[in-house]
Amino acid sequence: MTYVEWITALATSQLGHLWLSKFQYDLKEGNLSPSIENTLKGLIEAKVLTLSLGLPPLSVVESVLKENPTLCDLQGKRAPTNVEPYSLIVRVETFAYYYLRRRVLMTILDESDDEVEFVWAHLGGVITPAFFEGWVKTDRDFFWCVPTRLLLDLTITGAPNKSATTIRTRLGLHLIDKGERLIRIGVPESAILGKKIAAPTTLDSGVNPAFVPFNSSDGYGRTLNLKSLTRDIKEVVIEKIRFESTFSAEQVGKVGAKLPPISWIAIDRLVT
Amino acid sequence: MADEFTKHGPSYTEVDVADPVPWLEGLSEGQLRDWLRESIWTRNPLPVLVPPDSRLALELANVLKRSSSVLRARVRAVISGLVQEWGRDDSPETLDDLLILCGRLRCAAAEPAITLILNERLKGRTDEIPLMQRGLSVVSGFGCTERTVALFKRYITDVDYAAICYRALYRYDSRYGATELFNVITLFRRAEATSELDILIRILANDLTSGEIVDLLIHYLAIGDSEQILDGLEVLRGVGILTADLLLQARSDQRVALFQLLLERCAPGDYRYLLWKLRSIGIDLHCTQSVDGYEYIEVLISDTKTQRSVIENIISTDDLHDSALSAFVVVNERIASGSIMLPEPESDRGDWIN
Repeated sequence: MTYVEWITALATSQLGHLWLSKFQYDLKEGNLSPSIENTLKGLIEAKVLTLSLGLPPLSVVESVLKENPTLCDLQGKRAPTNVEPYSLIVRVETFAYYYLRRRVLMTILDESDDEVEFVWAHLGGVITPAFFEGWVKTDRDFFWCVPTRLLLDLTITGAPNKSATTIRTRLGLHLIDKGERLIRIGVPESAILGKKIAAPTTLDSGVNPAFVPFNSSDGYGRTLNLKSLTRDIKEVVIEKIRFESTFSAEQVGKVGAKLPPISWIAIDRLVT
Repeated sequence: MADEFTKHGPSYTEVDVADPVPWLEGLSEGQLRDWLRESIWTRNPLPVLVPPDSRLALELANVLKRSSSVLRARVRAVISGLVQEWGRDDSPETLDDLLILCGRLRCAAAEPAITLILNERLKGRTDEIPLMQRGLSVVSGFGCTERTVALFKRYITDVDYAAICYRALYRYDSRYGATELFNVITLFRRAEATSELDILIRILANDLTSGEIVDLLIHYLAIGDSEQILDGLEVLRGVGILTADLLLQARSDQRVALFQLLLERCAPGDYRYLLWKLRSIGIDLHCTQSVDGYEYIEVLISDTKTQRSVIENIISTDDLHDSALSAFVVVNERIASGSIMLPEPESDRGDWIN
């Protein structure tokens, strides 16, 4: 299997085609160094050669990105010039399992959600920042976030569920459905100093279809608004940071509406 | 559109990415094992997408929890084998993911493999503590058994694992709630982790009914020495668990047993302190004379919030003669006559004991 054959196979599927379009956009707009194309080609060729079992082409992309963080993560050429506080949104389950001191919290891990309920009920009460522990990251060693000031603008006072729904939709969190509870993690400026920060690229997005690259001169990327299917809030990716008591975490609310239907073709049009 | 690229491995389509459950249902046990291994070891779970607001293990667990009972049973069988495959050279994230999956999908068959890893494969690793905590919480989630009780007893003396082990043990046998309470309090105090101790006690109260908490208190009073009793009661009072309301909800025989033990087990020199602490939560112990002329130690419990109260005779003072309890009568008389006072609320116990 050659690189060309792999690309041909990838392009025959809608999500594969979308990924390729976005990657090409990043190259064309200078979001990524031109040399990355050859680098990626080499990585993919090496990958498809070593596969003892077949791997769908989209999975090859995901594998290559995950296996080569130094070459693929945070490679965006654009970055905001100023440092400011950022926020990220996580589900309460993610927060409970990955952001708290396990010495006394989440001391039972089973199929029920009782422990998560306890965290939701007591966050901001007995669960103070003294219990924050872990890494701010995704499954890769960086995280996605938006300027806190912009996120707070989306918050509707006294209507947490509306706030959660708006935030889900405008931040492009397309796998968060009705009923999910969201937590905002506030990252202080001091924690970002010296950390690598960049506008996200298609390589950072993995195969997440609800991502759209951007060529803005302000150095930020943009979230995908799931309703209008247009670029929306400024966003960046930042290398992983230790989560500790200088950070904040608060309930946003429960998402109150189902996801709007998403046309991947419409997203493809944003980059072609 | 079907993806023709794959010749041997399980292929998927865009429809499967949108909803991977039917695709998973169609996998053979071998394919499921290969897919799960690939997903966890290489962190590539396609056709399951992991969004930036979640993590691999949670997303896999959420998807699998939506699947049929047949598939979940197959997954449970497969995961046990994958846990056994994890070795010291594999990444900590891989083990963490496996543990979360085991817990969320209740793969109880993996318990022996997890216990083996906890006891033998984590020692000395930089990530030993978080992995141990995760593993112990998963085994606890399966429910402590005769077999795993030894595991929790082994690690309960370490402050990093004490809360997890304490909880596993008292959920298995409520007597552990009493027998291990003072050890746990001591461990967290020594570690200057009082806010963690508060959470541990709140969770204890969350896990037990009010009747069970009173039984725990009775057992705790029966086995503790005077110092332990006062310390334990103070911790429970401090986080709002030992309240008038709790005792109003208890059965009368529980209340009588609890106060009798309290008077018997508490050192006479600590009676003033005890009376003061009890009064602060609406409990007043005093001597009284009944219409028939007998003297009793009586308890008045009043809850201002619910406006409920109860008065009960705890013990006849006839039974107190020649016993340490008679000291209570003396203290009570001195308080009643005004020759000694109960301290101001903010007083330190050391200032006025005896």
